[in-house]
Amino acid sequence: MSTPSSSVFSYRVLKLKSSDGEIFEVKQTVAVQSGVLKQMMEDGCTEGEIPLNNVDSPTLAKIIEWCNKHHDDDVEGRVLSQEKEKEKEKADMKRWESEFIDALNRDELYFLLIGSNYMNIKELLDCAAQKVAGMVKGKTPEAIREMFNIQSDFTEEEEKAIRKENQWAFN
Amino acid sequence: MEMEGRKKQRNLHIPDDIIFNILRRLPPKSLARFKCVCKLWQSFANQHKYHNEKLILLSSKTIQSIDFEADEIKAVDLDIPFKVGNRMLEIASCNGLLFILIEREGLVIWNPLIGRYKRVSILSNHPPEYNGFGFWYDHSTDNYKIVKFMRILDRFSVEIYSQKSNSWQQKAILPLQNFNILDYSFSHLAIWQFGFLVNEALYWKITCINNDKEVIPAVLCFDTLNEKFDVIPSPDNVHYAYDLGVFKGHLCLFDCHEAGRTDMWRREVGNNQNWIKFMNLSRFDIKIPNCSVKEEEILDGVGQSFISLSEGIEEEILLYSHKAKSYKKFHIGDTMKDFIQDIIYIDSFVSP
Repeated sequence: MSTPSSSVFSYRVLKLKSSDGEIFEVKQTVAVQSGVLKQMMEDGCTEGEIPLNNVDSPTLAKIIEWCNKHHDDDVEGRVLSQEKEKEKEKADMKRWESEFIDALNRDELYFLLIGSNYMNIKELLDCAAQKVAGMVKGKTPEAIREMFNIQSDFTEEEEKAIRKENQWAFN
Repeated sequence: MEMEGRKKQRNLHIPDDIIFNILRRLPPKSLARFKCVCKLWQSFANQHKYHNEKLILLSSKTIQSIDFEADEIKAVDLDIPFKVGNRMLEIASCNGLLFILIEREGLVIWNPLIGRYKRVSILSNHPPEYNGFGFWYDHSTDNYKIVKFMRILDRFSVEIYSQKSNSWQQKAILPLQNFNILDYSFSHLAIWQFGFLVNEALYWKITCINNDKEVIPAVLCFDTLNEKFDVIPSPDNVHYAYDLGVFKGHLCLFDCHEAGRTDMWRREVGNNQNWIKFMNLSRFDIKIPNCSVKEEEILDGVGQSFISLSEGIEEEILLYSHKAKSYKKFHIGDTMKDFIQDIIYIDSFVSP
């Protein structure tokens, strides 16, 4: 009775500790979407609390919400889903993703980028990066510097020359 | 308190790979504008390669572009910044540049994204009976080049133009040997042909004479790495009305049968360079498919007879999906009445 079967094993939970000390319990089957946690599980070092020093609790809650939505713990139970259903599921998921991302303010989005990159959750990172790309594409270089907190490392003359060279892109 | 803590973190450095993940999603115009943000962003933009293939359509006076990733797929007139006095005859693209041959005016090299262009003279002392052109980017010298070979009487003269020197240099004189060029462009003044660039080699269709003294279809190859010519026999029993193209990084040969069937051959790469027949299209109303290929799809910008208004058929282009085995049609507009050619083009910031 004490030997864990594989299905029992797959429902074990990880204890994730955010940078501000909050503990989140996450099923292994959900946590596997994070490349970092997956590696730790494979290496067998997920005992106790796993500190995530770059992710604060509001961000970690968002990340777990995303992973819960995207994980599928009963794949084998519904293998024969029809093409049409799959299409619909895909469209529903896309809608959920854009609502999830659109509801974030700029700071939340920024922390989500850092967090999903740190935890290596590619789909979430790509989704957040796509959102930011859409936000910045019409902006001026000055607005970009302000937004990303970037100091220009060009001299005035250099910057003038680059602007002249790419004048077509400012019209 | 909590918000203040988060605000402080806001000033943390965003890792470069996140920045690059965002930048690679930007359209070319935004990326060009952000080159002056800082040196890191500039260097990313300068090295970034776009992969979005567009279809470019040429008529004698206009050039149109179709972006298949746009929300609405349609042909858009490009704003040509140079004067086109005579007819445009042929077009090729390489690394974001368009090479356009204009009757009696020579070549124009144009980057439609950044709007810059340059004229290159192709005059020679002897009017040639035939001109072959090919364009490629020499990555070792960061320089684009043009090869031109002219048949003058019984020999071929080969010249190579480089962007950096901005001049033509005589490369070699090829004896006529046992190959001849197919006369397939229909101008009274000159006969020309642009080569297809595939895996650092250029290809033109020609005829050659085999051991039995028969004239057979063949392909002339120019290896851009060592700048040498070679003749490749076509697959056995290929009809004369064949055409060349590119499919997924392979040189392709479209063999058009009179019955309306088109066999498609692909040349393997590597040591074993055989021709393999990989597809056939059956459309009786395509006379000379002018095929450009975008990944899984074959775009048939079909011959004059199909798109001309005198036939009573709308001007349209066919998109063949190999996967779905079906054709999609779309309108290409009135300015394409004398449609000449379609090519695949990818944006870049390269200056002509």
